[in-house]
Amino acid sequence: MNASNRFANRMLLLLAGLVLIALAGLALLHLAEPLRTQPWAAQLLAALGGFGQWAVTPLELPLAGRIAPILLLVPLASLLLIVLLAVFVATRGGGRISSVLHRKSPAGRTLVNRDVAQGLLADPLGERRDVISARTRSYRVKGAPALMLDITVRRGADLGRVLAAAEEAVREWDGVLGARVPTVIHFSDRGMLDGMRSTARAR
Amino acid sequence: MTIDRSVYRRVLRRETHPSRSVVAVVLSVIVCLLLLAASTACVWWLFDLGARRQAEQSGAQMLQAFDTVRLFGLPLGEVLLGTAGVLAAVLGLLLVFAALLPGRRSRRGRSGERCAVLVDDGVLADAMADTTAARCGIDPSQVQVRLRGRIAHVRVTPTSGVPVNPETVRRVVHGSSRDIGFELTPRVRILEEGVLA
Repeated sequence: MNASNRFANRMLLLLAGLVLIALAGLALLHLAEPLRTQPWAAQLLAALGGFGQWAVTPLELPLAGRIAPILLLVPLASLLLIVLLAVFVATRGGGRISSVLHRKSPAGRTLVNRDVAQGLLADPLGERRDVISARTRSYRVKGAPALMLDITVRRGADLGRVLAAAEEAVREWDGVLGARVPTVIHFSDRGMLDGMRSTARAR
Repeated sequence: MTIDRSVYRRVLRRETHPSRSVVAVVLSVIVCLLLLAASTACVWWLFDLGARRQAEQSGAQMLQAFDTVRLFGLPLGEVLLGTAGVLAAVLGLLLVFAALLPGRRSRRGRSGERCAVLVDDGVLADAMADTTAARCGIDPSQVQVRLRGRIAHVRVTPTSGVPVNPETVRRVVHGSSRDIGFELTPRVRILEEGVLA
């Protein structure tokens, strides 16, 4: 339910995959006919024109001696790419918000925090015998808050009954809130530790 | 106080299909590390003249070793280049498939009157297995349920000497998925060899 741009994820994978396939093709082509890759490299340089020639023609630099300019360009291009990839990584996930309702009126602005939903909606469900845990998460979807109610049930629980109880809790929550926030009830798999729990809750 | 149905459509679509974020992030981190190593090597090459001469010599020796040392009857350089090429091709194809195939997470969803419901397949399969076991009077470990698409494959190992009616199992499994709004077609298999209770 997070806000990651999935198209960007797939474009990155596609681009990396195609680059790897091209490199693999070049390596295997070189093994098959070593001489054929030489004119190819020369053609690439020719296609790059004056820039290609300049990049591989050694220059006399004060501290470094005779150096091909491409050795200067590689670190600069790498730095730029690293910054772009860092931005890409930092923008994954997101979309979580701390409030479940925003309302503006002439008198002011009302925000309802997610903890209220946790207390009124999830905590009573979490106390049921057939439920291991229940928690709420809120996200911004299409510009408005939406609620995810994650429920982990105990082995042997009747899902129909737990769902009915959750829907009843949502209806009560609607009444308290005075608004209907889109809500997704999620029955999530038990974790490794949950698998070791007893099928009954002791009180 | 109506709910925009497109919100549920969007959420359910995103929750039932993989985002590929983990693969993309791991790939980005690996590429960043490789670029960092390449930049460091370039800068070191530019400014450390003594090390450059030394690296040129050892590089020449290494290239010579690639030609002279033989592995499986072929020069070492060709074996390494071939192996790297094949590995890159396989990895590249996997990445292209990951980018183009929609994929599916093992969960299913539906939107209802007020809420949308999302259920992990493991939870649904466990619930079906437990209900079937309780109705047939056998231990839950004797019922295995696997979900594939809209079909629930149910495998029951009966207790020796106690027959299990496949029609009952079919009805129980169908009813238990319908209770939470999912229509699954059960395919039941009762094993011929039972276990001791």
